[in-house]
This record gives sequence, C-alpha cells and structure tokens, in this order.
Amino acid sequence: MSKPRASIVLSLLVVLPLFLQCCEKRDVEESVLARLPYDADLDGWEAEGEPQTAEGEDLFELINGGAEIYHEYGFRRAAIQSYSKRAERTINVELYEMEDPASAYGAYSFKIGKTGEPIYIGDEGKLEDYYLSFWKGHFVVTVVGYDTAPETREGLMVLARAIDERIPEGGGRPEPVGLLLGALPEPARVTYMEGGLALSNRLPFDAGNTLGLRQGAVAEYDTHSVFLFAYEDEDESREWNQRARDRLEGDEFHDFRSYAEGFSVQDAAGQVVYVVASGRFMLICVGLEHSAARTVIASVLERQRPERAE
Amino acid sequence: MDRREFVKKSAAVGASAMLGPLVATDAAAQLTRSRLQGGSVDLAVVHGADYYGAAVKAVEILGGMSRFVPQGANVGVLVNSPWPNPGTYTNPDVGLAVVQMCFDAGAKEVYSVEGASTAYWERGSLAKRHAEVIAGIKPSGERDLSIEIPEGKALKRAEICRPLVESDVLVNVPVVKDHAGTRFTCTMKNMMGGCHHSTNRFFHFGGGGADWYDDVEHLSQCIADLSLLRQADLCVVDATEFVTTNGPRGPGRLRKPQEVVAGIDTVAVDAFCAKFLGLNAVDVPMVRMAYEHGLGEMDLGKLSIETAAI
Repeated sequence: MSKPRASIVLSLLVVLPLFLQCCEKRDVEESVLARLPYDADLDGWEAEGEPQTAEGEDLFELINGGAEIYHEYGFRRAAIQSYSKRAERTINVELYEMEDPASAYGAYSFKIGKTGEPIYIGDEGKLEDYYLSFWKGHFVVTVVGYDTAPETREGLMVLARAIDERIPEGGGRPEPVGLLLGALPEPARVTYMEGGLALSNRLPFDAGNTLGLRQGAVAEYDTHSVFLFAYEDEDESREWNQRARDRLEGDEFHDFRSYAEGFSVQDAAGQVVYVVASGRFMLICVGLEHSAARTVIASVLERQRPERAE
Repeated sequence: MDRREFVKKSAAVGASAMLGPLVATDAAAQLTRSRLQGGSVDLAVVHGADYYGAAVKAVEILGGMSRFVPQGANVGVLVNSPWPNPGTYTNPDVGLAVVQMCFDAGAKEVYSVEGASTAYWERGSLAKRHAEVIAGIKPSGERDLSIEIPEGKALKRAEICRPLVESDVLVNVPVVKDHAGTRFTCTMKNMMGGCHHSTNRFFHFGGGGADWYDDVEHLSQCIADLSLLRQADLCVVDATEFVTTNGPRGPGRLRKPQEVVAGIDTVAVDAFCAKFLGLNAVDVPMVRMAYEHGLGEMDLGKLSIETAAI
C-alpha cells in the first residue's frame, strides 16, 4: 500500500470510532435527553445533577436487574434525571425510548398497578401513591416522588406534563389489547406481553414460556384473568395449543376435561384453567368455573369472527 | 483455626489454587454451620413499627447474636442498598440493628459486603444516634476473588468480594420484594450483592441466546448455585415495607406488614418469605433449585416458627 493511502486508512481508523461515538451521543441527546424539561417553568422544580443515560444492553449498568423486562419489550435508550425543589423535595424522572409504540405501551402496562387513578397525560397514564407512569408514542415515562405530600404529587404532574409536551407523536394500543377490551368489561388491569418474562409475572405456572408467547395480552379482574395469545397463523396456534395441552396434563394440574372447542384443568390452587384455540389465537381463562369461562371466551371469539373471515 | 484460615488452607491444597481460583468446598461451610446446630426455633417472626427493635427481638428469639458471632470475629453484613425507590432496599434501621448487635456480641470488625454507602445508612431514622457504629463499618474491598463452584449447574465460577467467603460470620440482611425476573427476591438472591458486576451480568444475561432476557431458569439456577459457595450464618429479613410490583427497582405498590424474619436456613427463610408476595415456595424456581441442591428445608410444616410483637 502506498504511503498516502496508508495514512488515509490510518486516519479513518482513528476518526471513524470518534465519529460513531459522536453520532451515538447525538442520538441520545436528540431522542431521550431532548424530552427532559430543563428550561421550562416547572413551578420551582429544577434539574439536579447530570442525567444518566443508557443505550441497548448498557441499560443493565443503569438499572441492573430491572433491565430485562425493557429488553423483552424492545428497548432503545433511557435517561434518568433528578429534580429538586428548594433542596427539600426530590423527584426522579425515568424516560425510556422503546422500539415502537407497542413496546412502549407494553412496558407501561407491565409497570402499572391495579389501583391508582387515570391521568390524562400522554396516550395513557396512571397516578399511584407516590409515582406516576404514562406512555406516548415510542416513550414510557415514570416520575417518582419520595413522599406523598401534595406539593410532591403536584410536582409529579408538572414534570409529566412538561415531558408530554416534548413528545410530539402518540401511538395506539396493540391489536391483542384491542381484541380483549373490545369484548370484555373494563378490567382492573390489562397487560400487553411480548415474551416469557412478562407472561411469568401474570401466569405464574408458565415460568418457562411453554405456551410460546410472542404477542399477547391479559385482562385481569378481581375473580379471574383472560389471556389472549396471538400466533403467526392457525397452524402455529394449533401447535402451541397441543403443547399447552401436554403441559397442562402434567402432575401439578388435575381434573383434565376435553371439549369440542378446547380443554380445561384445575391448578394447584383449585382454579379452573380453560383453554381454547381459535384461528391464530389461543385464549385462556383462569379463575372462573367452566360455564362462565366458556361464556367469557366465546364473547372474545365473537369479536374476532370478522378477522377470521378475512 | 478460624474460617479465613480454613478457606485459605483448603485453597492451598488444591492443585490449581496457587495459580488459579479458589474452589468452594462443602467442608468450609460445615465448619461454620456445625457451630449453629441445636437451636429450637427455625424461624423468628417479629411484628412492630419499631423496625430496629423488631430485628433485635427476632435475633433474640434465635438465641441472641452471641450464638452466631464469637468474640473477636470478623463479620460480613450483606444489606440490599443500591436501589433508590421506597420499598426496594433494606431499611437501614434493620441493618443498623444487625451491625450494632454484632459489635455488642464482640465482633472485632464488621464489613459491609455489598459496599453500602454512608448515604444509604443515613436514610434510616436512627443514623444520627448510631453515627459511630456507621463510621465503624468497613468497606468490602474489590470483588476480585475468583472462586470455582464445581457443583454449580449453571454457575461454575464467580468473582466475589473476600468478606463473602472469608468473614468468620456472614449475616444476610435482604429486603423481601417483588422481582420481575425471579418473582421475588430475598436471602438467596441477595447474595449477588457480594459478586462482581460481571458475575451478576452472567446471571441476568442467561446463556447468551436470542431471548436471554426471559431465561428465568438460568437466572434462578445461578442464584441457587451461588448458595453452594456459602450460606449465611444468620439471615435477618426486612419484611417491614416493600414493593409488591415492579421489583427489583420499583417504583411499585408498597405493602407494609412491619415484620422482621430471622433464621439460619436460607431455603426455609426464602420459602417462608415468598408468602409475603403471595407465592408458594414450590412456584419459585430458585427456592426449588436450592432445595434440590440440599441446601435447606422448603416445607414450612417441618419448621418451628416463633412469632412475637413489640
């Protein structure tokens, strides 16, 4: 290689990593840091210290064992910033940029509890004892106070609204959620799921994701839960339904019953687990006795009928 | 011969020990645990709003700290400190009670295995009163001790801090709380606080496959394997106030049973404390796996449990 060409290559080897680092830094700045309010009127709340940021697998460095669930949903970047008021109160803002609105909705729906009050911030939000969460477009945001004083709770709302204004685009709920909520009464909580980690937190007996969840939702009520699993096509649904049948015929379940539309078992706690596969979906109702479970599942399937006809 | 000398001498015998990592041996564990046999109470559960007092009472029911800490002993105390949100870290008053009891029993030195900062201890309500005690807690040093775990099924080697294995007495002081990965965390998972970041990353990143983040089985097996290294001589669990959702980091819904649980069998303690999250021990993979290792008793019906209130 000639000397001039060698020096060009050498220069590129030095400059390129620096250039890429600058691009990454700009990505973080333009995506997450740009959503954090620094120059707005925040009713006396001021940013305290530098923000902490993370991209990709580095989220583990930032939030340790709390990272996995974000990765399951599809995580891009995060920023955490503290705000204080008169050096007396502190609020922490955690802002996560996810891969798409479905991911953001999923992470939000996983975080929220069954109690708390809805707030009209972002696409959807909830205020709980000392913190609130909302999602909007690709972003899910949690704002945490360290006490429940009225001034702090108002501070949560001030910061949340300021962040909401900085996220221009909203999003819609993913399909499985719409299918459940379109057919069922308002639940205590609905969770969108994209993998085994979320599923294991809602369906305790499936820690290993033996039902092959890639996309699904669960609507939780005081007495029961209704799960909808969406597969690629009817063949896949049928295959996983058979695996579910094999799994639930195991030792920890009893009273296996087979029906034309599906099957049921009872778990160790005596709850009926009612399973039906229909088209590319599998539905599971946990906690209702057989005929009530059949009715609930039928109401969801009725809503899907036009989709099946396609 | 104290524990530190025993561990060093055991390591010196091994062919690779002079040049490579230590090897955890069952004999080292027996050296310590043989001293603890003969107690009439397996678990002490104390209820009260005075969390410091409840911790003292719980240890008193088990025979008092002098049963566990000989005069002149070096003691490692492992609290769960790094999380920012309410209900996600060991209440410092519980940790302080343990540290004070160790000094009162004649401990020569008390190490904070996890490296809890002064700022953490100062979150507690009794920090000023126990300022001297806090100042006397020694840091754990670097996590640079490489140790093999031949009987580990998933975890074959760990990088840890020396007090985790070399302290004469190890007292594990976790907070019980929700955990999205393992359903809940208590004494066994708290042992990760003595491990190097790279070891903890291995736990969470699974076998490195495409869906590493939902590999609950891998994470749980690593946790169970870690307990082969050493079990704490005494566990004092903060079950006073903790998150029941969104663990380990929170924020989440707080539950406030105001209880402190103490015991020497880490499997039994975790099996008991799982109930605070509404779980049965058999449904928690890491508890079941530790039981399968022969590390303790999972059947609460076989345990002697004494309760008290202050």
